[in-house]
Amino acid sequence: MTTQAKLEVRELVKHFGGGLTLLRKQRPSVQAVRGISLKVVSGEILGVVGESGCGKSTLAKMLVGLDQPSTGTIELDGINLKGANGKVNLKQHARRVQYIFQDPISSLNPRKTIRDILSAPLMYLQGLTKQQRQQRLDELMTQVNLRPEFLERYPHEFSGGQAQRIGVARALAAEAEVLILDEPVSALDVSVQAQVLNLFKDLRESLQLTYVFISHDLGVVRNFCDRVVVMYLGRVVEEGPVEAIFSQPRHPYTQRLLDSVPGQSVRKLPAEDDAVELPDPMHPPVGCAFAARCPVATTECRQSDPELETLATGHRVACYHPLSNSNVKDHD
Amino acid sequence: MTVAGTSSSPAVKKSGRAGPFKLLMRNQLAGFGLMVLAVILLLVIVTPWLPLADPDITDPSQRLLPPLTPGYWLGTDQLGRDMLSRLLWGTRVSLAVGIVATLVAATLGSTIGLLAGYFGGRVDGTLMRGIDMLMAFPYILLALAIVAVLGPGLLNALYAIAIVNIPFFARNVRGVVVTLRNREFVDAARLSGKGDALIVLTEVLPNVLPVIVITMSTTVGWMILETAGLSFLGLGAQPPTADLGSILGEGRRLIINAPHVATLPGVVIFVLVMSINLLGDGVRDALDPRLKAGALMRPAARTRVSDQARHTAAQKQQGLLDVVDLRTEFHIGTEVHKAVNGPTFSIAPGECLGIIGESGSGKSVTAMSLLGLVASPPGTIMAGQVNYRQENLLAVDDERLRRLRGGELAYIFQDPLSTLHPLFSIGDQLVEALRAHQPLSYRAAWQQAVVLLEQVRIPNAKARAKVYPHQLSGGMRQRVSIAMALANKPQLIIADEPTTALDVTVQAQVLKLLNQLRHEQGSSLMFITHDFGVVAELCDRVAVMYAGELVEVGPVAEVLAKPVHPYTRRLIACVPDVNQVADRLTEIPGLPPKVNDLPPGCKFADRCDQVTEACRAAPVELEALTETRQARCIFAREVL
Repeated sequence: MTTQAKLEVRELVKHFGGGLTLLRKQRPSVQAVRGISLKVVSGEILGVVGESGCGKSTLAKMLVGLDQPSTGTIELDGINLKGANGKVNLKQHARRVQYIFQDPISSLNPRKTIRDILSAPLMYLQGLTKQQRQQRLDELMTQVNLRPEFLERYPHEFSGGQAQRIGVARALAAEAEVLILDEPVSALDVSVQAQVLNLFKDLRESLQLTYVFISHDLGVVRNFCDRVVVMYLGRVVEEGPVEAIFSQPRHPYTQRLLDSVPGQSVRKLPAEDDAVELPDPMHPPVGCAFAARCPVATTECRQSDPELETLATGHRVACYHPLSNSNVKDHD
Repeated sequence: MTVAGTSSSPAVKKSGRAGPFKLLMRNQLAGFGLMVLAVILLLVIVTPWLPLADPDITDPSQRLLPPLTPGYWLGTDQLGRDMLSRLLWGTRVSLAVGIVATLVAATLGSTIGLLAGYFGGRVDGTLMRGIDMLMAFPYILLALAIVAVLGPGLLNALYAIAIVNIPFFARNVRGVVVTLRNREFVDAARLSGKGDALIVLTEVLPNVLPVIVITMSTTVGWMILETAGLSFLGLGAQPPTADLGSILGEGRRLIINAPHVATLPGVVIFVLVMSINLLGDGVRDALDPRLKAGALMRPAARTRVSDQARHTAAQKQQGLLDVVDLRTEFHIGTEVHKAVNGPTFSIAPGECLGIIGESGSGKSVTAMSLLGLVASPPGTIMAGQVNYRQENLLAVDDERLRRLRGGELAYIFQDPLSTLHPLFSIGDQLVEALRAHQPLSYRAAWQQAVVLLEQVRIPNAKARAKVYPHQLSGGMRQRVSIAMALANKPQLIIADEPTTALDVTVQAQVLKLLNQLRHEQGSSLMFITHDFGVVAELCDRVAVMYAGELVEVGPVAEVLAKPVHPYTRRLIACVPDVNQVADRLTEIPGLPPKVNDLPPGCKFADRCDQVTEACRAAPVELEALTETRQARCIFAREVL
């Protein structure tokens, strides 16, 4: 694998709301993403994990150009997404980066046939003629293992797994190199989930795609991704190769996530106190956002927010007291 | 490779639900309206070819003839003009003006609504404040002002009426567009390279059209009435052209001497507007998705139980709760969806039984059938027994069932935000739950509510009792639902995916809590989930459901270690393991069978890799393999 960055994100910040009211009062703002820097290497699958509200979906929307960052830059092959006029050319960007939605059915317009839906990117992004489109539609349907006659049907006639294949076909129609997969299988049943994940893997091989895979399912991430980024309240707290993150997590939050997977026989951290609650994204704490829930937090953690530091090759963690094998015992 | 290809037959099966036109015709009043309107329309369309007198030719010698005069069926007016002819021509004008005004208002109003809703922000603010201003004037005054500026005349009256009605369209359409704009398919269209104009026209508009049609059908009658009003005041149709309103206005002065001149146009206006409104209401009912989904149908207080099931006496009790051959069906249109196909299981006191299955496997319907919570119509319990302490719950009277629900038998739902009432504090909701079953004063109940909140480990329970559901996080809300279930010392708690909507760390906390409470209180738990990890964490025994049947039952550890049914085996295999990496995930090809078209033999046969002729030939029974394990597979004994 080359180390050339396909997508590079620098100091990305996104807040919603804010500004002033008519009476010049400060409006409350939610800080969804609070300074994220990361690289996606060509051909890899980067997993982004975290719980709801950690900003992972906001990050995904910004990567694909549907949302604009408040500050910070996103570069694709070294070229800033924002052109000289300060705006993202979505049409140009969509030819290279595409998005797979979480809810497959609601991402398909209920009043359009699959043919209409899949023709849109071929027409508006690729500019194909009618004959070329027909040929390409057949190809796309074969690529996602759907029968060509499904083209004339409406979205409600499909099951979740089939609808998600149509979503994949739409992304492939744009001939993008990077796919942002925003929880693409969390709405699907496990038996169907495996079908769709395997399809993603096959397509990556045959079309040399790069994926950013957003998920909260650690089992799926471990089996699907090459590298993992763990997010907590709008920041990256740990980043590294999937094996390192799962077999030797260094951030206490990563360990907490792994411990929380139901059915685990071995748990490394003491069980969490019942009283803990997640921090408020409207007023993020001064220090480490995880400090209130952290079993190893000290005063230092509550006063200043740790930066990401490299511990081993490619393994970075934002923690003053990273876990090592010596300071975690087995609890069951 | 063609995984999905095998799952669906090429011929699309028509759904059993009635189409919009059928629904419309089912509404008898709407059908009547349509008939009357059709007759009127037919008459006014053929008017120019009917052998009628010219409506504008005056004949003073024949003035004010009463109806039924030979040659003048409906009499004549003060200038001797034939009333029948004038009425028909007048109706023509009224209808045409009403319909054209509706079209104008619909076009302008919908455009404003589309733009305001789609672009939002400043565009929305400017356009909608304009609409608000339009609405702030009394409509007739506004119409009068417009006509006063433009001058009297039919065309100006049409403009006035159309402008006055723009807000109805703009507001309705904007409301729908605002929700559509945030739908994912709009984002998807943007990523497909479509610009704003294309998205509004080709993605949003088709989804708004039903709303526009509904609004048109309900306003067209109103517009005809308004046109008539303006003409009645002399501001609409100018002589010699007459519409129904101006005929009525002229007849007003003669109401004593020749009542028919005013009465007849009045009757025509009434019949016309009534027929349009009846039809319009029908169209709305048929097209509105919420009404179509049965929002107007009042669900019964408990699920309908067939006579046969209602008169079955309880069998000998084995556990705390015995379910015997339960069958629940949904009758939708002409189709029968067999959701629950005879599961038989029992839950011992203090035991936790996990029911696991994929969506559509019937696990939730099974749980809801126990307490008669399946919506009826369309749900019906066709057969079976639900025996709780020597009592068949399907046979008990409503009052007894009401006492059991939320009392000895409690329920926890998946989404606490939709089960907790948003307008009452959580303390009040607990008090209500307590006082429904126990004779407690408000104060005593409140104290007990606080104790319950402490029991489910809600920090600072005394203060938290006063907050409203939206002020709590998802995990805390689910704790409140658990507290509510515990309120009346339940013997059995039925929990339907209570942790599915929660984050993994919160799920871990809630599972821990449920486990602790179960052991503290000794109540039984029926836990419905799709997650084997959760079952392993919490349950003693597990029952696997597929297509409404139990396919495997046994102690959790044994089933997980050595699943017997191929479905269980493959289902476990396709869950990605967080502790190890598989090169390729195992998948189960195909899809579950449709519950309205179940195969006669093994329901898993189409997706099974060991299927034989025998599997498809006849139904496979759930067979006891050991004392604790059962499976529904003809090869089960060979595996175990």
